[in-house]
Amino acid sequence: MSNTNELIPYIVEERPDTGFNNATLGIWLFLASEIMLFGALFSSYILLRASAAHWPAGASILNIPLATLNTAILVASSIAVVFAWASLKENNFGKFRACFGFSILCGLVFLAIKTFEYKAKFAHGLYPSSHPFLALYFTLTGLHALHIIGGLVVNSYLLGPGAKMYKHDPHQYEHRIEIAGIYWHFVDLLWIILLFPVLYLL
Amino acid sequence: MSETTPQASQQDVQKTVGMYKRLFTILVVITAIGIILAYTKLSVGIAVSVALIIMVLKSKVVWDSFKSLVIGRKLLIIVFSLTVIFVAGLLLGPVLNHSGHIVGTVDISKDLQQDEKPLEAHHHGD
Repeated sequence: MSNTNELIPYIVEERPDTGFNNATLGIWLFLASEIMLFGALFSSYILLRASAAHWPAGASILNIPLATLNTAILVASSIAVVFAWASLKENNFGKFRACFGFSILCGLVFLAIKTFEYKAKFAHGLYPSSHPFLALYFTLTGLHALHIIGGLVVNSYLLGPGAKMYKHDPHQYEHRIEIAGIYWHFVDLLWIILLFPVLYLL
Repeated sequence: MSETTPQASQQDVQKTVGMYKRLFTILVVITAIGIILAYTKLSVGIAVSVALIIMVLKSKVVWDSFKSLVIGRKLLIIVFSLTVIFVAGLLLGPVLNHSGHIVGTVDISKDLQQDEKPLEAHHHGD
């Protein structure tokens, strides 16, 4: 790995011109593009809602208690990631594994509940083609679920095979967890700030 | 996660953890208020206004928590300013078009009205 650091500069240390290392700059640019993506979908939501003569209230179709539970699960997951990162900083790898593993478990439970919700909709004949509201609901929550899956893949790798790095390069490993944590917080905040209020509560 | 130097003190770490705890506590409280409001019978206009206020509040809380990572970093400020302009432009499109369609596109409002189905008829408890 030390050879990689020599070949690729600014993996951990900051570039003097930008003030960032590669991963930090990369994750912020990626998140900016994500904001644009979800901003475009949110704009579609406003356009369709403003155009529709009839728009169902989220509470009349969607299951608010389940979505509230999912919100709580994501909040717990984000806090667990923070504790995991803090544990690494305190050189407590065992606690890190427990906290990071818990956050992954929370992500899986979130997806399981989401699958249950989708199945209930399909069972009642509610498909994306049924109404623009449902089209937006499935698009936004489906895209968000894909982001959760992506985060789970990365976090699982970091907890499993990727954890070997901690033995020979703990600082870079901490940095990877930090970057993965920023992404995970973004995905959670996206749900808490945008998707849950707009789809379920409006 | 806040970016810390390798020599970041435990105090800094605890400060960051405290910041996250505070952030998520505030978000949970605001979300709880939103959930309560969702069950009250408000008119569409008031409901949308309240929802927007809640979203702005949440965004403000998040910004207050993360601004230390952005402020002083010119590149990030440029990137996120462009992002905000892009999203604001996208949002202004439909808002400024009172006829319900974006200039240069076909008017889909009539089609949408025809496609409306009484979804509440499918109401269920999941």
